[in-house]
Amino acid sequence: MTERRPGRRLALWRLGGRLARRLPGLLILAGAAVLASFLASHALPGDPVMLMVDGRAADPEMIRRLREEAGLDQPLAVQFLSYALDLLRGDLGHSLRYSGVPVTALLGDALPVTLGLMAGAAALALPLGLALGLAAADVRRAWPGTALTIGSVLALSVPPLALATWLMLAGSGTAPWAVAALALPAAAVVARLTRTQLMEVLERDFIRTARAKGLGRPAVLLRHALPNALVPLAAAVGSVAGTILTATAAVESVFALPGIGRLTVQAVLARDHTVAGAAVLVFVLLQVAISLIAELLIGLADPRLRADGEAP
Amino acid sequence: MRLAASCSGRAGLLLSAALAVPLAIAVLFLPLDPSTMDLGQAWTGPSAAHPLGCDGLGRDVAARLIAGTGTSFAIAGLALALAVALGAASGGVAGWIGGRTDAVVLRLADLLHGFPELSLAIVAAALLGPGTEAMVLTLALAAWPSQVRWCRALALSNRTAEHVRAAAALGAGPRHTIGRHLLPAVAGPVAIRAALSIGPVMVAEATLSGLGLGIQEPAVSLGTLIRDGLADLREAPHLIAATTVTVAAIALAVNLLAEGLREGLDPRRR
Repeated sequence: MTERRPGRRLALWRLGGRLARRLPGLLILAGAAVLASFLASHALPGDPVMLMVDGRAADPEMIRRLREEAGLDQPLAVQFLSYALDLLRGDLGHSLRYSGVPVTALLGDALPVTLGLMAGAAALALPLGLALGLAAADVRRAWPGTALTIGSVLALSVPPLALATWLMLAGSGTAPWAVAALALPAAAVVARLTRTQLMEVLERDFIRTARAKGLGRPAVLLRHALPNALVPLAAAVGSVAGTILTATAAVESVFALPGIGRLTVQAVLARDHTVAGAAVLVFVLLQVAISLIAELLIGLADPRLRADGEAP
Repeated sequence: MRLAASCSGRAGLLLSAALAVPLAIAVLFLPLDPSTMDLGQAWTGPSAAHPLGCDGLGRDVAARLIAGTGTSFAIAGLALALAVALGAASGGVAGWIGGRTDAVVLRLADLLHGFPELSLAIVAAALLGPGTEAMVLTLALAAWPSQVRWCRALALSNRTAEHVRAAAALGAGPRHTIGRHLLPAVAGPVAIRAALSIGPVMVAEATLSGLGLGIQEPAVSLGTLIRDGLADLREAPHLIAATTVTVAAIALAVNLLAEGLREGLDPRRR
């Protein structure tokens, strides 16, 4: 174990460098997300005060005073600046639906539910998908590959709302079924990707070398092939992070879990624009977090980062 | 035909046929209208007059599914057409010209790719008001980054291709090179790539509209039907069952055809 230490430290350094290079892009994205979030909560037909009085006979003088208090009489650019400054102080404004409740409090209640659901789904989908992919990576038989292809096409075809409803009707409305509704399609996609990558890696020279050394099939698969096959998985997870979030929102809605997705959907339907605007930002951050975590986890397994010289 | 050569392609053709036959029968022989209400028929199960039963307002579920399928295909097609047009213009120019233009377009694509479809849907609904336009815009923006990268890669590889350089060496101007050499070479791959993404775009529409973030009543799409079914889940589970199974079957047929197309076109499998 001791002789692998320097390699691992090197891997961390290189991974850190790789992530640091993404920093400028992430900062620009954060700025754009704040702007989008501001647009979603401010640039709508009818401002929050008009929604508050909504049809009721209101004193024009009171409306003017309320708008002044909310800063709505300022130019849009000034409003954006104060929105961004408030945001930096951790103030996202107040919910229009639950008057007086800070948006951060609503998000703080909902976020653990969503994170728990996604973590549970990942804890189920990744091992299951990897195991299925490993088991199916066998050139001598064709049917496991066909089965995984069918599974992954099915996973991409059944809308998450449909699968969640089926599992709820067939099983029960409890949390494990919600996790399963999110994890099963993910596992199918992971399994197929793992198998395709393994089949490609297994044809490379270093695998032949490992076999020639006399290593058994499990050792070749797990120690030499799998780490190399995992690398494209990070990119794949990053590119479907948005779809994962949509699926999470769907599962939360069907199973009535009080997470970010359900909060957002209800806020949009109730025209609670401050909450909906904040959600724009939260979903961007969640997507960045998903792809960074995937990159970090799988980057640690990437043998090319650990190697002192060229890629194996 | 290459599509029928692969397992997925055959399954896709079979499933499409299985969906098309009852569709044709319903369109030809049943006088169905998606918005006619008959409260006496509310929540009735399948019958001869209403093969999939009726919803809570006594509207024919089969007719609504047919109308919704049409809307969803139209919306997915429109969004993809928009994404391909914008993607081909920006990505093609970026790849062909290169340099700073290329860097800026790629940055923009990365930036937009950083926005999940939920965020795009909320912003689009806030700017345009929830409905069909906002949904098309959302789906087009979500599909744009990958179209840009694809079109850029195609333009880049064609710019340095020998026949293009030969044409330039013979004195061909940019108009001739682009019109006669670049566009014909990239049109096929761009169209195929767009066709492959119809299934995922339809699923995204069904999910977002099903959550209430997309198409709104009285318009009917596969998403709004799921939403109606979810609202009536307790009273009439057969509604959500009929809707979700049909939506999944349609998406499956489209995705299988795409998979067959992909396999058929993969040079390694020929």
